[in-house]
Amino acid sequence: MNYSIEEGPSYAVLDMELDQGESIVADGGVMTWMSNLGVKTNMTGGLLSGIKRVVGGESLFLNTYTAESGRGSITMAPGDPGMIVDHDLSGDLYLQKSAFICCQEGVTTDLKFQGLRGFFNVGLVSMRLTGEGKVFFGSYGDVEAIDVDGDIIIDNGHVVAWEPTLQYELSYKRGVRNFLFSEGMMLRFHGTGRIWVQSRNPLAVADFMYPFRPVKRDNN
Amino acid sequence: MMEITIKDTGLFGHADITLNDGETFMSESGALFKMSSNTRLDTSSRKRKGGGFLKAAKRLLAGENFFLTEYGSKDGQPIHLSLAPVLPGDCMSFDADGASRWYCTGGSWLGCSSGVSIDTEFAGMGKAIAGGEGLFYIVCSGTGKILVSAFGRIHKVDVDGDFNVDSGHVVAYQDSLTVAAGVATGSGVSGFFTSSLVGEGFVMKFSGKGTVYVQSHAPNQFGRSVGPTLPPRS
Repeated sequence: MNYSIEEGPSYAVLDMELDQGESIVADGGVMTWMSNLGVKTNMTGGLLSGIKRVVGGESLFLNTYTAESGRGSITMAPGDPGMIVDHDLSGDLYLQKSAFICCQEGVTTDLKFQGLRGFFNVGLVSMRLTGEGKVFFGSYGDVEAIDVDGDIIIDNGHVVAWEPTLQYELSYKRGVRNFLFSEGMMLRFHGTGRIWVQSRNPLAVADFMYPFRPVKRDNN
Repeated sequence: MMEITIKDTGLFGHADITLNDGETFMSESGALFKMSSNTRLDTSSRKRKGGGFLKAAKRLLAGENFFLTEYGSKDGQPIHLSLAPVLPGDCMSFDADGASRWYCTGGSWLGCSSGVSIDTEFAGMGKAIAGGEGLFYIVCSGTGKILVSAFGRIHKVDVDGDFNVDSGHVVAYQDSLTVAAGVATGSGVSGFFTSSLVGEGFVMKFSGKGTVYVQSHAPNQFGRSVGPTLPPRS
């Protein structure tokens, strides 16, 4: 497998070439163009796992692209403009719900209920990747990998991925006032491990757009 | 010494700020997305300096969050914090030398260091229409760093004489400049209607000597192109 991440950090896309017999498992919707590859759509992990993915904000299906006759190529782009991270997985990784792009077949995907503490932006459910192989995920905006040794506080709308050796809990900004009037929710990560942080928050853009929505009129 | 680093990230600029003991920095509350755990957040200090509810309401109208937050160190050790704007675009810091005040449009002001104090100012009806974005300016006076963001690219323009900027594209300007609202096409009532018809042409007319920062895209225009496609708010 050869790959390169092009056009980052603003509109990164992932170009990939697969040798005969190689395959890649990608989220539904990330394939932009491809050549000489076979596609198999499956609900990895069965129906329950598929439904969990829908709840988690992922599409129900994962596509497996395989080079069946000679070399093939595929270009993938995530939904948000931003950067793409390639990561050599060995063990576990948690991903924010919409960040996943693709992984090698040695990696299994599952969903992990994060509880109410993850409710506001990260979502109730995060994606959990387990195994050995390359993993690719995207960010909205630029992305920075931070090796935490100790602790760091991050807005949950900016968390992209984190290693499970890190624990986290809600850390409110000071006072109820913050909680009510601004995003207020911060996560305090502690332990030793790596976390990926994105430089923009999609929810903030939704907030920006809100006043421009049409106003509903009563006809009666 | 305080350090502000703005990584050249193409489309998505953000500011990384390092503060040493005793130094503080202020931003609108929503801009903070990453900080050291020894960061002290202070939202109440603005109430003392900046005056209560009315000021806060004015800030809200200016397109800023209701509250400002001041950052400092809890324990005397240096702190790191990161601030990001909402829309894709550049981030930039510049020096305020105390000689003149800086007017930042509502959504463009991101933060400033402790030597700079801020206030809000009503733009006046004409300028408000021309400014496109928000009825208020964040007015910065004093000495220190001012942090602004743009939708798209920021350009610095050193005005000497006359300079017109289309509505919504102003990021910040020095108050050594004289500002008037106007229309780009013609003058008087007929000019006003021509401008209304072609859908652009409301301009801010700067004259004199000073610096204007402009942005390549206008947030309100983007809002108006996407917003109507969303389901109505009730």
